[in-house]
Amino acid sequence: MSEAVDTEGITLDYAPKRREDLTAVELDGEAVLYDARDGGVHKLDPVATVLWNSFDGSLTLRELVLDLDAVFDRDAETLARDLLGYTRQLGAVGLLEGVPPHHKKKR
Amino acid sequence: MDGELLADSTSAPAAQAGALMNRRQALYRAAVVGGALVWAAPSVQHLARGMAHAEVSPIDEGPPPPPPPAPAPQYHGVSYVGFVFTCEGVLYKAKWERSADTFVDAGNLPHCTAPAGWGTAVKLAGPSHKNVPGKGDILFATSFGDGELYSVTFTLPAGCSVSDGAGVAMGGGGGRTDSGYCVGGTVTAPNEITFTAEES
Repeated sequence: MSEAVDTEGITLDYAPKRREDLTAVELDGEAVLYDARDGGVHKLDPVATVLWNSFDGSLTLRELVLDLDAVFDRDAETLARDLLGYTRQLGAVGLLEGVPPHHKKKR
Repeated sequence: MDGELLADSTSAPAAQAGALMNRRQALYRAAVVGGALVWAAPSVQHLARGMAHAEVSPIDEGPPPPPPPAPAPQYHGVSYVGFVFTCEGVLYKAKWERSADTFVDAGNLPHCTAPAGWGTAVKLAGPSHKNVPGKGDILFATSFGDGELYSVTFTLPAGCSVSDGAGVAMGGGGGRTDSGYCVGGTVTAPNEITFTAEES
């Protein structure tokens, strides 16, 4: 069970959980998520889609980095950084359970 | 009993291992499908509401804040008016200035479109409302307003008829400015025309 956390509080020990009330459609390995709460539509690429499907609240990002490390020939540090960035993006737009959406301050 | 414990202790790790393999296989397949066996960070495309446009990856900043409401204009009633009327077959034009509370030279009417016939009508002769040619003290104004002059009515002698008019109500902040808006004249009787400005 994910605890409420701000996007900045998402670390490798965080176990992301996708919001269950989203409508998801998957085509050719790419998911399109529709958020009825704000009308937002989000399209995930194939890797993002697999990771999204893994976000059930039981796996930490650290564990997912190990998966990525087993598949991709890339150093774990880069994988961890990219995965963290991706997860925070999802959190920022309110797609993760317990992560309030975040609006950037006006520049 | 022992069998149950043994079964529990062996099946859970086996299931976890299976899930792990499935996940890694899925990642591998996704990488193949996406042509991404060389690692590229997973990406999210945030499509705008209604999918009018797409924004890749950066966090949705949400709708822009509404613009601050424009300050309500302050109007100061009718400033001046001009109107065209006919007496004894002659077409006259008159211009009345509120600041002087009198008729002035009916040369032009800045800010607004002049009433029909303004260009060819005979000017009211001078600043006094007693100077309507041949008519004497026949033209007068009555006004209504609370501090400011929001409505002014001009009455002509019977037999004269007013045809068109236009005026300006000045607006602005604390003091008078050159901003204002046009006030049309309403012919309320054959010999009567009223100009009404917006109260604020």
